[in-house]
Amino acid sequence: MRQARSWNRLCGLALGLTLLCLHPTGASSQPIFSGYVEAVQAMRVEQNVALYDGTNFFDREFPRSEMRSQLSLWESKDRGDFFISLDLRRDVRQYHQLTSVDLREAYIGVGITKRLDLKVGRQVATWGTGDFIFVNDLFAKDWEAFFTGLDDAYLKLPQELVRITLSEPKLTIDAALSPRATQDHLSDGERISIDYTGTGASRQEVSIAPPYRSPQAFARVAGSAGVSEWAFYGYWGHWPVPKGAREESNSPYFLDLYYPELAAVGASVRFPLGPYLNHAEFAYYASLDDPRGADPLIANSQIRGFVGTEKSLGHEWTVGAQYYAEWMLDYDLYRTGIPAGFPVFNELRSTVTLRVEKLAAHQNLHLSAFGFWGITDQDYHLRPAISYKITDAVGWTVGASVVGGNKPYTTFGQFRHNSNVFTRLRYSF
Amino acid sequence: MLRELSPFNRRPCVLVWSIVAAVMILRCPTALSQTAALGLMNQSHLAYYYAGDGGHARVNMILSDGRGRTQTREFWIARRDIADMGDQNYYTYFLKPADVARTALVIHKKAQANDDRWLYVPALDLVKRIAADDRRASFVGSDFTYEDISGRLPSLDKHEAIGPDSALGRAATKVKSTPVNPKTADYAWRVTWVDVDSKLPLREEYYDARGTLQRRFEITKIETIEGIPTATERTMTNLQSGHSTTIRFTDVTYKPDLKAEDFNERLLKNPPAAFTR
Repeated sequence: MRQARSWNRLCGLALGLTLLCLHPTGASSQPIFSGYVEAVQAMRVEQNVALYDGTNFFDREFPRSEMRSQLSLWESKDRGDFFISLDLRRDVRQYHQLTSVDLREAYIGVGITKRLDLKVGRQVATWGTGDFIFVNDLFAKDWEAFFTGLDDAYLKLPQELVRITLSEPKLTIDAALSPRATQDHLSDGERISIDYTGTGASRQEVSIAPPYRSPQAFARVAGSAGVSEWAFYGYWGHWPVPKGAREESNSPYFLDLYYPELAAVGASVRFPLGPYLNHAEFAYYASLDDPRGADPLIANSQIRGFVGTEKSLGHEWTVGAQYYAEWMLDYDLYRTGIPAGFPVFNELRSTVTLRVEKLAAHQNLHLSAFGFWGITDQDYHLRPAISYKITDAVGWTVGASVVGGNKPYTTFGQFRHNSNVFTRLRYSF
Repeated sequence: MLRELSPFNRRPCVLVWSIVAAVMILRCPTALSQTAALGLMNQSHLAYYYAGDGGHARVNMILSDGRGRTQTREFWIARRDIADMGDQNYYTYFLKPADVARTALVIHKKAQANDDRWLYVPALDLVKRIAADDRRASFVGSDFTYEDISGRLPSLDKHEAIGPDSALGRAATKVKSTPVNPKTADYAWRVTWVDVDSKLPLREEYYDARGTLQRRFEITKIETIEGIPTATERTMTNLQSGHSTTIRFTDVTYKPDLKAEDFNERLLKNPPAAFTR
């Protein structure tokens, strides 16, 4: 995994430098240089024995303790733009990489015609209607960043994409192709622990084989009808998380996990109704490596969906709520085939989320709370945070990431014992 | 027939008409001034919020807390009218502060319904639709509300001309406006100094139900751009907190490049080249 990540980084850097050399010249704006310097400290509020590898405890107190800086350069032209962004990071506490340089983004955007745009390079992409719930957005995510106090923007991992967008007045067609898959980053098992298998095996006891040479394809057709918006989505590639296990006879590991093939189709709507802004989304996930659900160690096909609403209450209060459900297909086969010692999931699993936001002091003070409650799995994740802008340039955030559950294998239960409080101080320029 | 002509039958008729006439004579000046005042406020609304068919400007906004602390916002704002006194599309592209640079906002302002608003967050490549039933919410933390930026229909208030006056060294007509439905406004009434020449609202004062002056709006500079008198410097002061916001417009044009249908997802993600120089 580590090697794979550095390979990722190298590839990205090479691509960025290539783009830098290739980027078209001609009449253009002044390049805009921007970024920030930030100190992040996250501190555990519970001890976690899962971070013990048999010899050492990993840093138990601080899942994240680092200075980071982002440096971005953006140049815009009549017919396109060029953007490069680097993340420099220095771990203040121990971790295997004390200092690192990550290429966050590096892309060229070209307006081929007035309606057709091409964006090539390492970039972040997002679509769908959910609030921290992703069903049709199968772009890569960094859950470790999400659980350890980094800015919400770091939930999204960049990936190498060729993206074409056709924008008609009431219709947008979007297609993105990645030559090699980027998976979600869950955990290296050092900052936070994760139970990948639900069997109690630590991160060091499982191997994960990512499908690096496999392409991924994403598509969306979106439009509007009056004040409502609709969209259809498609995806072909692999599961973003290792949802399959292989039996390797001479493997030194307890379990060999991999990313099975996945195809997904779905749709969403978003519409206001009185003072409520509502959204709904669903997707059918076809687990291509186990289409009939016969192999209990590979995720079955599923139907996922959610409905949600948001309302502004006045005086800069906003509330939102969502109900999410995941329905496993071919459940009987799964249930009969599951080996002893492996967790058994319910056929229908549902989760609710709640968001409360308040702005105050000329929007310099931002209070927010977001919570997930797994109704079926009896797990939870709470994200309260307070941000204050001391000046236009300096912002301070204090928050917590509380995660837990009754069972060690559910969505949030697998991250239990990793609750932490965090603080960030950022200077933007 | 005879009975109908009898003076006994006529007398009540005369009495009723006399009363009606008396009421009309008494009421007429008020009725006339209310109609005239609404007409004037409509003209003022058109001059201030619907000048040209749209256009764009670079905006510098300074927020001051009255105790020496200031904050700056810089953005481009573009507008395209769909109909005079009707729907309008707005686009805001932020340059400063640094943490919101490249963020963009599209508003479809509806004269008769809630606005539709979309925000683009570049770091996430996220287009987020925002719940927008509250036009009285602060615009980017300033003393201006969304309604102050995009306008409140004059027909939502009752207007009464209360005499000539002057503001910014110009002759003005003072108009008192009271919300028809008090729930639709944060003020109990407001007084507007409407410029006799340009019809721009030179000054506005907002009062609460107890008669306390809450907020004061003032135009401090008017420039004629492409033949259109334009308020290029404006301040809103909250007299209760001492906080104020000053807006300065530069690079103003009323020749809009953007068409009404351009205010969409593509614009959110791809700012016009003129705004990135």
